Amino acid sequence: MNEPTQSPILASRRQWLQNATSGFGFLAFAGLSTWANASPMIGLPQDPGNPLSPREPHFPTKAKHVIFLTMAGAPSHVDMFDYKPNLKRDNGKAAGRAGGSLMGSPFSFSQHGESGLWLSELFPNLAKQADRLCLLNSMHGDSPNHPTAQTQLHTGNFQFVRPSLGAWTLYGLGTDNSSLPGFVSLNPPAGNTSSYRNAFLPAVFQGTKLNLGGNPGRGGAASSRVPDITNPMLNDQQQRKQLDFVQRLNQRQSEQLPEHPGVEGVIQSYELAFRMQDSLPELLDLSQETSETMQMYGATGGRSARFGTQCLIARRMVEAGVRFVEVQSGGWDHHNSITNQLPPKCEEIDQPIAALIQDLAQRGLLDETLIVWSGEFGRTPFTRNGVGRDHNNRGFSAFMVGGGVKGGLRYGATDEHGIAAVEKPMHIHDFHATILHLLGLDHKRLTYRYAGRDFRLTDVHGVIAHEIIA
Amino acid sequence: MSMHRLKSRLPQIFPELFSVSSDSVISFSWNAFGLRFAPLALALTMGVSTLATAAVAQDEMMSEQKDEMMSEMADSPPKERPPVTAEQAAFFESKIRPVLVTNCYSCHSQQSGRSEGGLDVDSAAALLNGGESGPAIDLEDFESGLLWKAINYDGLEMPPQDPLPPHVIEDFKVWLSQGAPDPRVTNVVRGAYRVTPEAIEKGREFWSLQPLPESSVAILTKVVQPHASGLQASKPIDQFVELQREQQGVSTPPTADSYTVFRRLCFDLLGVPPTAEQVDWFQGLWAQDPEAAMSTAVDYMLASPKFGERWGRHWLDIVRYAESTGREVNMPYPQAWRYRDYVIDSFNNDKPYDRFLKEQLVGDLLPSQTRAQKQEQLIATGYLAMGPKTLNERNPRQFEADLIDEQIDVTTRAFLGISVACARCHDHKFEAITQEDYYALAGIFGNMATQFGGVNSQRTRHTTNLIELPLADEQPAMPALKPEQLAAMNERISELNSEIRELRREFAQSRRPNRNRPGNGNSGGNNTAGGNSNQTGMEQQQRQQTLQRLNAQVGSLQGLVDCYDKDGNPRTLCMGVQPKPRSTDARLLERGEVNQPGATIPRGFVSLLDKSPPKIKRDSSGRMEFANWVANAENPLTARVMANRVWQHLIGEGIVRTPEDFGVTGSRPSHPELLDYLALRLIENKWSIKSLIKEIALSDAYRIGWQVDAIARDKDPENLYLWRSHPQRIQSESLRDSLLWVGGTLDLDRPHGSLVAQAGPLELGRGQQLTQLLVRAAMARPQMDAAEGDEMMSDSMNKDGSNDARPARPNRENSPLMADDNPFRRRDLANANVVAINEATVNRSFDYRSVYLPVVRDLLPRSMELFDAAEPSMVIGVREQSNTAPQALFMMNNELVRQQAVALAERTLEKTGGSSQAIDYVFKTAFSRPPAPDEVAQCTAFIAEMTDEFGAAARARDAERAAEQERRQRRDARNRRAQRERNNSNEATPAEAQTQANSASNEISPELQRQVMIAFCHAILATAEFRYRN
Repeated sequence: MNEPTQSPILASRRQWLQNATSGFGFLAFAGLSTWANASPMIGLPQDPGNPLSPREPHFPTKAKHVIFLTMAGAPSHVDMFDYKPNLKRDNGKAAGRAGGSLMGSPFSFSQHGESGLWLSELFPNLAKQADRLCLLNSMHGDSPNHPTAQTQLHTGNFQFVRPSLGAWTLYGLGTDNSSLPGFVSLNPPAGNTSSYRNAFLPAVFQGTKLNLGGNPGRGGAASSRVPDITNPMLNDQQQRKQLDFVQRLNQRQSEQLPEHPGVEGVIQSYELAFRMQDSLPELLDLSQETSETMQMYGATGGRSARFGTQCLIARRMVEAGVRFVEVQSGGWDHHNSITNQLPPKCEEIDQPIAALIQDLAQRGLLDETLIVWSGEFGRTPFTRNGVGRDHNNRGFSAFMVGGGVKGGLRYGATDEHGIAAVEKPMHIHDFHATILHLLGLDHKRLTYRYAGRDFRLTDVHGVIAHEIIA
Repeated sequence: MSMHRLKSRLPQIFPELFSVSSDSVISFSWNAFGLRFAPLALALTMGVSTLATAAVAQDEMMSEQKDEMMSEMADSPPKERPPVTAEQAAFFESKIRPVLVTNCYSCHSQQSGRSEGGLDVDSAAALLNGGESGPAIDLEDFESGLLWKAINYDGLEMPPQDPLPPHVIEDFKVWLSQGAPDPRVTNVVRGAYRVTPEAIEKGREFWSLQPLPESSVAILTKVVQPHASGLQASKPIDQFVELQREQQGVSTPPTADSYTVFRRLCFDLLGVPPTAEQVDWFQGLWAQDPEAAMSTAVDYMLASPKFGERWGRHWLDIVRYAESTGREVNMPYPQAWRYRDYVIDSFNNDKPYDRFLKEQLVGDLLPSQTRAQKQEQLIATGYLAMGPKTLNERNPRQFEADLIDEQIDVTTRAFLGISVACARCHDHKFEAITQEDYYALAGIFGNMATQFGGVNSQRTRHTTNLIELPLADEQPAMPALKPEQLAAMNERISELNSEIRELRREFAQSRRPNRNRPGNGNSGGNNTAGGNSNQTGMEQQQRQQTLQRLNAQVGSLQGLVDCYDKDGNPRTLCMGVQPKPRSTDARLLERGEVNQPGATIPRGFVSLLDKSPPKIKRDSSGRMEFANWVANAENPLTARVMANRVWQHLIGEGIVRTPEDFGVTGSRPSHPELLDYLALRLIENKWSIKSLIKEIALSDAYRIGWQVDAIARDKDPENLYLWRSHPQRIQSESLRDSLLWVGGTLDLDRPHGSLVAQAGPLELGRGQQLTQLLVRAAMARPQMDAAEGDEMMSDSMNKDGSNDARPARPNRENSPLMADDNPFRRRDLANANVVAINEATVNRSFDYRSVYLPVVRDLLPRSMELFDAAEPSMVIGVREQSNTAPQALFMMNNELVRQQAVALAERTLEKTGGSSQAIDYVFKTAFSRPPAPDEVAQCTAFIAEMTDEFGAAARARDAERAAEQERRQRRDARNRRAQRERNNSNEATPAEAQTQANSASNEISPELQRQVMIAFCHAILATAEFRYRN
């Protein structure tokens, strides 16, 4: 998608908006003194006054966008993507040091596609895309607690407030569409900003949280209504004039109080908000989609309605040039019963994800869009109550699709029962390094100077899994 | 009984109360009760309509406390009971286990996910532990064990269908009399990680656990005195700060200008900016004597009731104040507002902080001189009761354990700045806190009954009574009922109850014959009845559902009836705690699992925090001792933690930046001696929060300004050492209050109660229904403008009220809700049929201070949620300060902002007549300062620009209208006869006529002037400056 601005969704009034704001853009961004801390190692923005304008990656690659599907609560890898015949064989045996007894998956696995990838029966639709899936079976992280592990999944670190993966991506690459946020998080959980925060990165790189359809895990279809998106008192031109005045006052304030992060944040937020008024309602207007598409995503009803709608919105966003879209699904914490709780959750996501892959492929966007699916950790292959599984950060599964990764591949492995990653272990740092690499960013060179030190997403870690790159 | 049958029956039962509307939801008319009373209507409606909504379980992932440290676990030998011999194991496996599996597991096992009565029988420990009625097995005297009694149908009857055959009961006798040897492996292991006594000893060396120095003077003598001659600062606080700056090599900032300082003070102490008049007043004082001016202003503000509303909210943030349980069921707490008011009043009255803490922990135990004092103390204990709760938790022990855990977690983090709850499942990983410490506290907290209320419903498994208060409300939140109304409700309850009994009988009967069919001795008998039993299963399921539904209806009605005394007067109730009759110790739960109780732990305190803690007498619950130990000058944490909070709320960042974590994972104090000094000042001033606030607010540190200093920035990027100020984005409540304040529409009176109180006790289910509740309970000014109407009116209500389905207006005189002095008076409670609503509507329906908005978990008003209000299920000591595009959209477009822009514009025009004074007035009102000359120029230019813009738009509109009128006249001329009426309705509105008139004369019309002033004021409200306290 070299010309994202050609998207019909966003064609309207763009020219006018650009003319109306061209004088202002530089003024608005000139106040970004914190930008001075950006690493010289990142690409130069096309528009030097606008840190959000697109930048060249460190090296050319296919992937330009990310759709990050995160499953909050920690989905059970051994029942979904990590086929463990020996776990079934050893069902009921004591799990050794760990306590509890091993519990084979109650779901059957079979091979799919030419690649013969083993997948659980819980994913009948996704199975049809087997040859596009790159399973990462050797994931591991440092925390077995949800909030901290979620924070690590998103920021690499759970002890300190650090920027999220999306913020780093936006910082590294900028965004193609100045009328939409470069980084969108659909329904992040309340009370935890780790998934979209910018931390010490300039405020422009913060994810924009859009609550469409309520909190994750609440069920129901996603609503595509954005509150406060129109002003009944002023027309566009009048509002632009008003906003220019507001921004002049803000700018003055910023000169009076240089390096004031808040004022700069406000300035950025207005520019984006004004453009979003036009672009977002169009983007979220799903009436432009055919009923076949809606049905393909399972967005019309049933369990998949909400996640399906969000996946469809994610596709439309990527199509419109949004750099990074995150969709969260909650409710994967299945301590009480895998048999009862897991199938309905999988039903929520199976068809939507399969449709997303297929849809991006048929639009020629799959190569440049990296779909990443992961929980914050996995679940134990053993059980203490005979039916549920507990937290396991030592081994779990994620998968990637498109964006220049190999399809039909199973990378890394856990031990014979799925307790810990043993073969080509992929720590969350490695996972991050690989994602950045797929986007053409060297995780060691993507740095930002803060408190006298150059920080990076992967801290001092991160090994790229070159093997999965096509 | 199917839904259909129920629906068709209700009108028969109460023909005057129900009418079945076309959309298949039973609507409810209040004519019969003769008053506006939404809750019951909703209760009854929901009893039926919520059935359609399947309960969607949601895993509360973020609230998950259990810390599964798999890698830390190790096998350890089972404890206490003698090992099971091979012979015993064989007996159990062949004779006992199969019986349990076949007859009991379906209702009593983790496997089935059902633990009826809280009992599981699938592990040895679970049996010993028992359920709601007590342990299932009595090891001492097996015949008094509940399991034995139940299988003998002695009091309990298990299995419920048929008694076990005599020979099986014999087997159980053998097994139980041997001490119920149970070979089932339960894999109970304690975490390998143990906190050693040495670690505890070492942990006590940590900075925050050191005893405070003997006095504030002593610290000054020790720390400041030696350097006093070289210091510029004269006030103790500033001397500490200056010393630190020197040591760190960062520069001293300039002092902020007097306007900035005054604005700071107003936001920090009151939560709203000063008025233009107050700005001038303060400047006059400052010009004479800045120190005196500050002192006068601080005293004035500390005496204002607005102070408590601002500082009370800080406290509500950390004690997770909310008016509903949250989680899946989300049942409201209609009495929670009393605690909110208690907190606000306590801050306003400068209640000594130690007293304040004690009242919250042991208000029910403290002696009281007057009934009013007793009332206050009881309400204070609401603190312990209003945490988030999983009301659909099946296992009552789990519920109890979670309740206690939540109380321990909040208390230790909010009052002591340390997290003890981490030790619920294993010894604390980072702090030297053992699992024993946790269960020592759990014993204390377990010795009280937490009374949070609630009503029975399909999904609620836990309800309690509330506490009756000694003094009745003068203005009850709910209207009184007439005796006949109460009688009607009671009658309905007994009807429902008899229906339930009937159904139960049917239920029981239908189960028996199937198993006990005569001559059906062989197993093949069941096959022949296969089709039938399937059908029976369906019927059973239906019965079961109907039962649940009826129970829920009874629950809702009973919940409502319980709010009244026998004469129909609302009872005055509160949430809180009461002592339990008997004091006991808690048992340690291995890995936090309620089914794995271990050793009994004597009640006590956290050993890390106190080497020789006070003893707890055997017959004492320990709660009073705990409260005295917490609210104590000797406790190293209590005063430090609170002093740090006060500093943080005034300076912008705490001396310790993790206000809930003074432990090893928290941050270290930037000014340790200053923190000790402040803590001691708090204690020495009899725990007066106001005195501490005053001392900090009068310091120079409070007045520092902004500077750019590259050296300081590199050395101290976090600004730990105060080389410049910490600008704050004003908090959500302050932002909304400020908008209303500058618009002149903020209602400063405290509303009585809360929206949630008016709604009464209900089960609400998920968020959407709750929104509806708020609407039903509170909504609705009788007249709504069209814009609002479009958004919020459903087809069930017409603007003119002509819809027949709408209940008649109640008699205002009869209802206390409609009394003139009731702040909710305007909200026409009878408009209970308004259904469609968005959060913004709730948000803008009230003009009192934001601290009084309903705080319903998972459903904060948009203006709160968007601007980082405290998440009400968590302990929030530091709020986020985000700047997002949705916030920008809110400020640009939201109706609340637009309305206040209009109000400010009108005020401004009124006061200044639109003269050059207007800009000055708006700046002072919104920014608390006069405009600079260049700003006046910018504003003037903008006003001129918008005058042209709107003028041109108006002229274009006029021209268009004129053309249209001409066209219409021509057309009308053609169709004069047919279109006469239409012609009449075509007159221009007065405003339009005015514009037309003015466009002709080319003058600035008042309407145009107003329009421009609105646009100007709106712009001012939208600036960063309005949103910041610098």
